[in-house]
Amino acid sequence: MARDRDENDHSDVPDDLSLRVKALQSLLVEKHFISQMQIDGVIEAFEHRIGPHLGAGVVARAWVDPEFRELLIRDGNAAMTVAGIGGWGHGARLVAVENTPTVHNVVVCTLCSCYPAQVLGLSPVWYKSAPYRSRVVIEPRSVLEEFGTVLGDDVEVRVWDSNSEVRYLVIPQRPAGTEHLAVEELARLVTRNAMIGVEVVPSPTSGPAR
Amino acid sequence: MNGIHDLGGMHGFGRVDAEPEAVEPLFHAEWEKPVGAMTLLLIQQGRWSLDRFRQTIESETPMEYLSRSYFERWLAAMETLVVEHGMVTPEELTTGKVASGQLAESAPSWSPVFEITEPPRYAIGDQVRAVNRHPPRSHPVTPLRPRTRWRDRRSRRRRTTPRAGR
Repeated sequence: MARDRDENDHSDVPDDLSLRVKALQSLLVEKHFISQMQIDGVIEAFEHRIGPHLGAGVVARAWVDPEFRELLIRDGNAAMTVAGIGGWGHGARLVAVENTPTVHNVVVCTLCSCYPAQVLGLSPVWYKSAPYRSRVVIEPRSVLEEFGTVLGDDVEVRVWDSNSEVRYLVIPQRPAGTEHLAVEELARLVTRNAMIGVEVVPSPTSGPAR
Repeated sequence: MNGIHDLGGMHGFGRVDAEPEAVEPLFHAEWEKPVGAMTLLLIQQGRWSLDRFRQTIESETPMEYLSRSYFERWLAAMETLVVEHGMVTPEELTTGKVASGQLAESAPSWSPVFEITEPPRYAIGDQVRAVNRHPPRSHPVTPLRPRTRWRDRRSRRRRTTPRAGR
């Protein structure tokens, strides 16, 4: 059953997966379709260069720079150019959706795993899992509660279903008590989960983010 | 295509079992790293488009789809596509060795990006109705959910983003 072997459970991955990957990889390298250097380069980018720190910088800048915030909401791709974030999202439109005291946005890809990789890097396992994809569109509040996010009845929840052409980034609300912080310090508060919309950015005075 | 990948609105999958962000590893096995890298590189080279890659994943049987992890699906799709594109033979995949006479000149690449000259039929803000069209062997253009209008009774309003029909 899916629950016995869902996507978080990797302890029982059969060894033959490693062997299959080795076979495919050595065939593609030996036949000069791909070089080992290219493979290592992409892995290096996954692990060290792209990631949610890029999105956090974008969000923090939007919090302190009204002109940038306006551009980010109006034309996400143009804002990426201004922020010097390139590649990876090529061909897709980045749409930033802003949380307010009365609107909370959350992002999903019900069909697969479309994700703003350009600013958030590789998506987490749960984002691609059947429980999240099936449920967040019909019962977003109970899914959010599983992340510890409880929203008041006066807050409208908007669920955005991504696709290969449009990727969504949530601009979380700037927490209270951060007026004195510099943009770099603000960026450190912004979690990836908040930019997917399953969590909010906690106030730095209310304890560390999980 | 009405496929198992079209998960939005289905019941029975249980809780979202999320690892906390702070302790979650980027990869959960070494083999996932080259799978991610090779997938990206082959699409970047234009061996096939992202849509073709997704269609291959979506053509798995529901049992395969649900029992495989995410990167396992990527691996299986790549194995299918390299054979379909004549880059590797099934025997080579089994042995991991290049068969004699199979050493490659690499296939010419093509770009999946093309210019659309036709003017768009809809403007931003137009109200559209999703068409219930889903031929069995094609990439889906509309998820099941907007076609059937599931609703969360606890949400006051829900926005979905209709996919453009093709």
